[in-house]
Amino acid sequence: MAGIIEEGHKVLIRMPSNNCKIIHLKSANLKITLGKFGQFNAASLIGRPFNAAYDILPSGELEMVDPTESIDITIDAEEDAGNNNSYLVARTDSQKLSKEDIEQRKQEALDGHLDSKALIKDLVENSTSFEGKTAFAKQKYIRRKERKFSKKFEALEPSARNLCEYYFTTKPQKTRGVRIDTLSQLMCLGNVMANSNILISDSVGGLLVGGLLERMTFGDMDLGGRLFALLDGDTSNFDVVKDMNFKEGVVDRVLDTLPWTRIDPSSHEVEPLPTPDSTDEAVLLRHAKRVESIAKANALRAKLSEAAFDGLILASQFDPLETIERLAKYVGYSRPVVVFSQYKETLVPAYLMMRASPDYLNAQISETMTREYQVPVSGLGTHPFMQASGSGGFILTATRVFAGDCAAASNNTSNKHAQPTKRRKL
Amino acid sequence: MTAEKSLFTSYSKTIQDGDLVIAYVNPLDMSAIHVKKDAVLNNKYGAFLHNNIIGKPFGARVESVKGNGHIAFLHPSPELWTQTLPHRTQILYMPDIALVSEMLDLKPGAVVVESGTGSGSFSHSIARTIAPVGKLHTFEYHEERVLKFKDELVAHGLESIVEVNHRNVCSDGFGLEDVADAVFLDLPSPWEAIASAKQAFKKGKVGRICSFSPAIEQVQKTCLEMEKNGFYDVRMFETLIRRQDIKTIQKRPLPTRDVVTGHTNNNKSKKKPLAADEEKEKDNNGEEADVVVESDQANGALKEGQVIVSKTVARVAGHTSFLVFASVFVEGDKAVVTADAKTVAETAMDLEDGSNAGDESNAGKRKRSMTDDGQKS
Repeated sequence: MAGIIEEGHKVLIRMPSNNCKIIHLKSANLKITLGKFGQFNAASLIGRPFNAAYDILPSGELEMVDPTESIDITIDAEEDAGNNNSYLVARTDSQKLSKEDIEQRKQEALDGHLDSKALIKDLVENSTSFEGKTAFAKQKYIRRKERKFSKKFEALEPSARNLCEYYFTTKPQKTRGVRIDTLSQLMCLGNVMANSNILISDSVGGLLVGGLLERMTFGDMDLGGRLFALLDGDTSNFDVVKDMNFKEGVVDRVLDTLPWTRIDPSSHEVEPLPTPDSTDEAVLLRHAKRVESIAKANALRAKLSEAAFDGLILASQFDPLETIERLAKYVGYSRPVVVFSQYKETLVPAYLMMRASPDYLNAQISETMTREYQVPVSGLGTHPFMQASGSGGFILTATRVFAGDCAAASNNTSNKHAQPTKRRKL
Repeated sequence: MTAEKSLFTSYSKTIQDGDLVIAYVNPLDMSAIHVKKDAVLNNKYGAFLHNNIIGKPFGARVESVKGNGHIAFLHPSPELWTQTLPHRTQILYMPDIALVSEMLDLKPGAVVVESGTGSGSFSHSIARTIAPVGKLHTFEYHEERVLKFKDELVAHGLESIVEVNHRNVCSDGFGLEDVADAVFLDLPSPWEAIASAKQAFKKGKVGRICSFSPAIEQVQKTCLEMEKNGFYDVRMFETLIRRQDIKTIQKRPLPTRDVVTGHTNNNKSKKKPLAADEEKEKDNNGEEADVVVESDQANGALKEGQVIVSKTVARVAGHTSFLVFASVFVEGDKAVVTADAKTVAETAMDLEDGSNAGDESNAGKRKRSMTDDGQKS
């Protein structure tokens, strides 16, 4: 069943500190360690649902818990209404427990002799400043202590959504700053359907490939969808896809890859290789391998040129204008061209070309402002988060069209023609 | 069109009699039409014979009868449909649709519950994303909208993926149990539908919910109700697209003084630019419009003193609502918690509620459904 953790799966673990790491449940016998938050048996995660919270028990087993659950301290908002921070001064003696006491308890909690909730409760009860805090501040204090001492973690599914957020917050350079709203728009604007045949270029660590694969697969059923990815180098570098739990064989079936440098055949790939007049086994083997590799590349080239793809989606490190001009001929009519870039300036030349060309319609560049807010749950208030993301990158979209006889007409700026007058020629 | 051949769930290359096509004049002038033999499309650019469209590839530019204009006929997509559909209600637009789809983990095979259907803008997009193996149960309390949408589903070949129900989910619930992977609420009082929505989720796995509300007061009530019902990871977003206006302008040098006459020379371009009228209309913010230059930029030729600039388009059309997302786990047969543990949890919950009477937010917060909390027992 989808959404359930299986042996062999990868799991994105969100630790109490909010830091994430990807673990691989290679076998049920493994012990998974989360550093200062303790360790647990892989077997106790298998068969459990993804995207849920678990607490590590002293035995190393896991217990599924309510992620919103907090320690057992009553906070009465009305009673605290008069509290404010006017008496709050920066001191180090507001915690009555000594550093050594806390360290000892921490170790006991790690060894499983002390419940981490009891430890946090101790800290709260021994804090002289806690009572004077407002209800919001009290909640915040508890959350902060939980981030440090709790052993409760979330086992997230390594889906495109979760991995996108993970990389965006931890290593944005790996995915070139593709934010979740941007990724979602690439797929929406690309009109990605389960049976689409899409041409892509992914320099964002495989995040685009992963997102598209998710929208084109269902278990190991063949829905007809295909992806053709042009590779920046000689081999694919889609690490994000490796972290996603696609069923075996699915990625190989859906995804074809061809390096950029091999779109056009070299001269020796066109003419058959001369058979070496050697009887040396190594030489013959090398020859057979080359023949096979050439045949494979030729087959892929044939696939590329015959497909008339259902869309071109680019999140590439290469120049958008050059890329589009190179690939447009492989894209079918009335199909979207969607290009992501971190930089607006790199999209502008491609935009201007599309505006001027009769082969494209409705070229537009946009970016998205997306803001996350804290919500009124767990006794917290509603407000924007302090850490907001400035930009999720830019998207250029257009539709490739068949100009036919109208190509000449639309190049000629006659006011009678609907298209040329409406399209501001820039 | 048969269900298997819906243009919203699979691409077709050639326009055929009976197909839905999008007649595209410009980004603000698009219409969805059904191609019919011998029919004629009339607009301000002339008459377009459907017979001239049939057999052409989707995406073909077609000339009007008198040859005084041409427009393109595009393959329908949920995004184009959103821009051309007959509005019966306020609708969701692409940036919200995209984010909601991703945050709800929509993909082929997903079973989705939606209310209300409204004009069916998002419904088309959901259908596209979950096809061919998923299912959308959509609920609408307004009967006429239900009937209109039913007709649309048949016309668009989506009736095998989408099931539309005439029902007020706030008062009568969804009437669904153990079916949904995701629930989307676009309702005036979404908090009334939360408890029933929880029932609709598949048991034994974690489901996703989204509530779409314009007012912060609605959001707050909904969040509290979500928490009370055991929803977690509650997060709220606001998303707004910022389109970029790109143009070439003539740089304005500093004014100079004519040494002979003593007059100030503003160094304005003498030639009236072709697109200036259009630009003046747009730039009605009191400032003098920049001089927009017509140039042959396809060849990258910028003349002296010209510069390509971009700015964010001032007016953005969007339904500015807040998007609240949350996860929920509904226990099922495969549940890892024993019956005993559940009883303990419930007892603890009751105690907690009692002690926190009068504090609504905390009463909600303390509810828990799946923990065996040693401290409390």
